[in-house]
Formats: sequence, structure tokens, C-alpha cells
Amino acid sequence: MSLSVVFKKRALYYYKQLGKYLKYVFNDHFVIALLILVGALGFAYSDYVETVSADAFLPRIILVSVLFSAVTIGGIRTLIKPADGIFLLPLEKELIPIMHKHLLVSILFFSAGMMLIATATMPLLEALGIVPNAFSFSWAATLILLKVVDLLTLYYLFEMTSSKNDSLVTNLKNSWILILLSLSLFISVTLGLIVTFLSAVILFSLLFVRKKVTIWNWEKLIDTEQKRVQTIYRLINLFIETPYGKNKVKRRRPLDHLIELFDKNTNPHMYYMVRVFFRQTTFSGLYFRLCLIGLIFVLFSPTLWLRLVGSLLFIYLIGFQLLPLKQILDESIHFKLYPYKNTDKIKAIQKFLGILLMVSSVLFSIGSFNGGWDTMGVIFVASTLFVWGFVRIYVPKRLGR
Amino acid sequence: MSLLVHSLTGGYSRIPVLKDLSFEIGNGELIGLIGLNGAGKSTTIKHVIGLMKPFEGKISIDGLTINDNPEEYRRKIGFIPETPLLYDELTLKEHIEMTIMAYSLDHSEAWKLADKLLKMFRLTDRLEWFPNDFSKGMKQKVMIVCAFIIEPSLYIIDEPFLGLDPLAIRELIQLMVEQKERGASILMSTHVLANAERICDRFIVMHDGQIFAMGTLEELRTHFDMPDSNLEDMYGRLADKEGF
Repeated sequence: MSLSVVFKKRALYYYKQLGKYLKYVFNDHFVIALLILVGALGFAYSDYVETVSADAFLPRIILVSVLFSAVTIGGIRTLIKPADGIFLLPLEKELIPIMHKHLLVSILFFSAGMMLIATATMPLLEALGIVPNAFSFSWAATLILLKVVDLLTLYYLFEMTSSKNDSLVTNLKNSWILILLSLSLFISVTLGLIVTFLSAVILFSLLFVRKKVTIWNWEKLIDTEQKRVQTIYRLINLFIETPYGKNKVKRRRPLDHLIELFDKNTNPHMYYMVRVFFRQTTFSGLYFRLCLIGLIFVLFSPTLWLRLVGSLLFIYLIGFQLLPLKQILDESIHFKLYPYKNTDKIKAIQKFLGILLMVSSVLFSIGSFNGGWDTMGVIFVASTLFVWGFVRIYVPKRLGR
Repeated sequence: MSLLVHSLTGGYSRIPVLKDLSFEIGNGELIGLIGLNGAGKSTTIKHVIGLMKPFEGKISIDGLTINDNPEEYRRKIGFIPETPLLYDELTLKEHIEMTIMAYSLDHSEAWKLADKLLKMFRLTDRLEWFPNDFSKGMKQKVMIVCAFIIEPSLYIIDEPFLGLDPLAIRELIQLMVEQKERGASILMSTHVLANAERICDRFIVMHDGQIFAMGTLEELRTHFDMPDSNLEDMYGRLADKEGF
């Protein structure tokens, strides 16, 4: 048995597991929701592209920020496991070719993603007069190379070198990607491509050409891979229960006041849930991200019905994704010992979900302000009714089983 | 000289946890690393294994630093962590195979040793089981087996006694004594002071990232002027006095 065989087995197992779960993810009701969403977005997007004038400033800003998040999402698939930090320690050198392979696999995978994004943004770029044709090879190449720069920096962080400040390196990388994107979109795609290409080449030669002793930062490797896998499993977990670990907990002291707003120490379930929500990104991250995406969707939807469908869909998605909060309560030994019934847990979840979903409902109503007062009113009333129905009827039915 | 730590300063991000630590462990010597929770014991261990990079200072095993040759350096260490860390999807047998591969051990020699250890810890009929489903004590035994078949020159053992049954504690101590006789050095961190007192040759008392005191039991007694007291008393009274 050699190390490459071990990792081959792992890769096989990993894809088998993913495949198994993805079958459940792409079930009928999700595919329909996805189709509606993509269809609505595509419709709104094509409408929007026609109204864009070549010297518009705002679309460029939005493009930069959306593309920035698209480029920086997703890391290197290393398949490192926590126990490797003990068992594989003497295999520093043997790990190098394996990590090279993992880097390559990730680059290829994300290149395909970047191609998709490049193709999707091309019409807007053409309308803005940034690229001359309906398809620009340089634009696709720029995006791919930007992702390569991102991944190479992540790879660099896996190696242990003295006096390295991880957050500084990450911030520098992010700023540089932002600069390169702005360069491409505001000044010239060709110039952006050249500078991006040079950055990738310089990074590459810094990493691989110089001969050096590699010592892996095992803790970083393990942490990063755990986080990456957890993100994937968290997404899958919306559809089917998977064994997934818990995220790291952060103290977040400034949020203490916010936590007190939710709960006045009256109910142990609420007490615990609110703190889990704010100190651990598993749920709050999902909540805030979906609220943001929903808000952007509502903000840029041209018609009332599109806004309405969007608001309700996002409220449903948010509520649905927060339901595993029950699992958190069920898994804790303490809540089995406390003198409370299962219905008390559900009541606490109903209350918490009610508050969170009402916040997003208000958010989406405010987001539709450019439709006028009546649009805002319709959205607010409809989504409030929906929240009421979801919390009062759907939640107890689903969790009571 | 097996392990040499010279003015080590290190920690997480830029804040030093360890301040100017220096100590050494000779061949065949068993050193007890003691100190309250948060004194810096685990951080010290992480630096020795090379999981963390020192801000300053030098660590070498048999004269070799991790930068000279990471593989060779790591092969000199057998590590038993405080919390057993095992692969979910590997059986006990596969854990041993993994160790043999990772440390390039001689297959038949390693298995001969492994069989002896498995028998000692009564794990022989569990070879095809997943150790991750075992109890804490049995997981710990798996970690012990995997570390001891390496036969390294330095053992690093973090809090080994918790969760082990009394028989297993006796066997582990016996194993450690055998390895010492073979010439291996052992760095053991523990809160079980009675056990430490019985088996350790010398002690390093850590507090707040620094070495508070170092020496044999006799030397500690003279140092603190507490004749005839045992390690537990000494440590307790010391802690009270110093306001640890």
C-alpha cells in the first residue's frame, strides 16, 4: 500500500458519497425551484442587458463584486483527514506529488466553472462595450487565470514557512484579485489578461521553480479540508441528513446585545439555539447569504409577480434550511435530561423561525421599494402570510414526526 | 542527546505562548511535562513535532532539525495525542498497515511487534473492527499500539492514562520502561502526578509558557525546600503559594 493508493481510494470514496447524496439533492421539488429561479433570473437578466448603456457605471461595480465572490469561492480539494495529522506525518515528501495532483484537479474543475461564468457574463460585457464580440476568449482566460491565482495562493498557505501571516496573505490576494477585475472591466480586458497572466506565472514560479524543503502546515491542511467538506455537506444537508461535523465557534461579543433581544433567559431551547445561531456560522451564514441573494433578486426584478415569487421562494428556502436546528437540540444530551417535552422544542423553533423569517420578509418588502408603495405592501402582506403558514402549519407537521 | 530544545519562543499567530523554553532529554530518559491546563504543554509538544513553526529558537532530535530533513525527523517521533484521532473508515488492521506504510517499517517485523502489543491490550480479535466505534480507552490503546510499533528514538505521549483500565496502565508503563532500556527518550505530559512520580526520571514544571522548575524529584524537593513531600503536595502547595 502506498500513499497514492490511499488517496486514490479516498477520491473514489469521496465521489461515491457525493454522487449518492447529489441524487437526493436534485430531487423533483428542488429541480423545479431551481428551474423557476434560473428562468426568472435569466429573464430578468436579458431584460436588464437590453437597457444597459455602454458607459453605465453601476453594472460594472456589480460585475466586479459578483465576479469577485465567484472567483474566491471554492478551495483545493485535498482529501486530507484529521487523523493524517498523526499517521502521515513522516510522509512530507510523498505528499508533494499528491498535492500537485490535487491542485491540478481543482484548477481544472474551477476552470470549467469559470468558463460558465464567463459565458454568462459575456452579453452584459458586450452591452457595456467591454468586449467586442459575443464571445471573447480573453475574458474567459482572464477569469480562469484569476481562479488559478486564487488557488495558487491557497496552495502557498498550505506550506509552512516562518513569519507568514495567513490573514495578511489572504487579504493581499483578495485585494489583488479585486484590482485585476477592476482593471479588466473598467480599463481593458486585454490589459487585465496580461497582468493576470503575469501574476499567475510569477506565483507559479515562486511556488514550484525554486528548490526547497516543503514542510506542510498539517493543521491548516486539516482545517481547510474540514471546512470545505462541511460547506458541501451543509448544502447537501438541506435535502437529506448527512453525517457532518460542527463548525468552529466564535465568541462574537458585540452580538451579545442582539442575542438578548431574542431571548430573555426564559426558555433553555431558545437560549441555546440563539447562541448557536450567532456564534456558529452553520446557520447564520446560510441565513445571511440567502437574505442577501434574495434581496438582490427582489431589488433587480422588474415586475411585481417576479418579486413576489422571489420573496416567497427565498423565505421558503431560508425556513427550510433552518429546520435542522431541531437536530442541534436533539443531539445534545442536555436537552434529553431537561424536564421538557418534544413539543417545547418545536415551540421554541417556531418562535425563533418566526422572528428570523419576519426579518427577511421586511427586508424583501423594503428591497422592492422601487416598485412603489403598493408593491411593497403586497410583498409584505403576502410574505407575512406565508411566514405565518410556514411557521404555524408546516413546521410542527414536519418536525412533529 | 536525543531531544534538544533551545530557547524556543512560539505560539499561534503572532502572540507568543511559549517564552524562551530550553530543555533537553537524553537517551533512555523519561521526562514528565507537568503544569496546569493552559500552561503551554500541548503547544510545546506541537512545536517539537513540527506542527507549529517556532518564532525563535531551535529544536533538534539526535542532532537533526525538521528543516534538515522533514521525513527523517518525523520518523524519529512516535506521538500519542491527548484525544485519540482515528480514521472513520479504516479498520484496526488497516490503521496498523497505514502506520507501517507511513513510517516505512519492515512489514513482518512490525506485525510481529503489533501482534504482541495487540495481545497485551486484548485487541487481537478486534482487528477487523472500526476503532472509531471503540470506547475512549480502547481507542487510546490503538493509538498506543500504532506509536509503539514505530520504535522511534523519541516518544511524545500526551496525557496517556485517562480512560485506560488499570491493567492497561500497568502494561503501558511496562512498555515505556522497556523502550527506555532500548535507549528511547520519552516526553510525557500528564496530570496524573502519582503515576508521573513513579516512572519519570525528571520533571519539567511549566507555568504561563515558561519553565517554572526542572529536575529530579529530589532536586525539586531541595529547590522548593519541601523535603519528604510527594509531587502532588509539592505542586499543590506551590500553586497556592504562587497564586497559579
